Amino acid sequence: MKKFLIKIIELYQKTLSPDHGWFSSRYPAGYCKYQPDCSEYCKLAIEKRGVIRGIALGAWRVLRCNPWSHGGCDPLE
Amino acid sequence: MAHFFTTILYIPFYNMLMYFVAVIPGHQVALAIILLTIIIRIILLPTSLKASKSTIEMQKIQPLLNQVRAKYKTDQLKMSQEMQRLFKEHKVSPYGSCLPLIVQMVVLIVFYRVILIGFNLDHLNLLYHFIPKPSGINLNFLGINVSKPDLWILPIVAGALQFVQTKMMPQPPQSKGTNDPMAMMNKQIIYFFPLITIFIARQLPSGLAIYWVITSLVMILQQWYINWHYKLGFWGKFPDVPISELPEYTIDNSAADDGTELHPEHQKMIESDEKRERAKGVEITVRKRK
Repeated sequence: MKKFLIKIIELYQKTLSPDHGWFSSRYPAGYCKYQPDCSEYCKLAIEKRGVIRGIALGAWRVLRCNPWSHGGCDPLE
Repeated sequence: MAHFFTTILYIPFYNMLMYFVAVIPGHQVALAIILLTIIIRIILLPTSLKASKSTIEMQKIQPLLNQVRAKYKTDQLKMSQEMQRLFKEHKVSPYGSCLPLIVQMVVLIVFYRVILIGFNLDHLNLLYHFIPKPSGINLNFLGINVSKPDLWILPIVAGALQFVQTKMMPQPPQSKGTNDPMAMMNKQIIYFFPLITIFIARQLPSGLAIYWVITSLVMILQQWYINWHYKLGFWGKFPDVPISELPEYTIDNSAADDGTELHPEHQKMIESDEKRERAKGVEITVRKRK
């Protein structure tokens, strides 16, 4: 399950992701306002905290990545 | 969990749609879908305008960014500091946010589910009590049944409009001559995605294709406005500006080119990055920001 989810995230990163994938050349400074960007954060969270907590952490991160937040450096604690 | 999504997403959406069906003369479902799509795009308008503006601002200063990149190849931290300084100097906020993308995905899925629930009178018990019950439901739209897949016209229109819309998004000016594999990929992908759209739209109820067509149309109008605002012409072509005419930017010369003045800590970071890359055996980009 864990490996499967991580594979899905990696697939996303290689294809549709505006930070890593085909469209990354459109966004020279990267797309996501956070560092590491959301998909990388989710991947790390699932890897280190397990599937359930990882998904929760990742979802919370994506919710924070909205037009009203400041972004910046936000590593997994 | 499924019940939760039904209650907070599908049912409110279904109600909105049915409200329009009840109010619109002729009870045309297609018109209700068009109206709802336009309302959704208006709600998302501020974020998407902001995103496309900042993309263009970014691309304008990209030659300068490339200079900075080339200059501080060896020192990631210094590079990001200089880039931040550049953004501040030109008042650019380069980052988008992930949430609007997800919101659009969710809207598409909810639309799909709502159209699948169907537009017969059996599901009117899902309506809230204050929504008027439509007296009839007209699924016909220019001879096309909204709840059944349309094989040709709508999918092709959706694909074509999507192609126009991606084509209008400005490309960074110097990406033309370079051999950046990602930029090449991007060029091929804009021909590929509309085809995928056509094939998917052929499988789905044509109401969804109508949603796609209207979304692309609204985005074309938005991009048209943006391109006009930045005087880029309809297709968003950047004029080829020679470096000498670019806005002033002075590169900080305090750090040595060969990276001899690297702070030991930065050196360590770079080394650990390289190690990680080697260990994985895959090429990954690691960006450092402060």
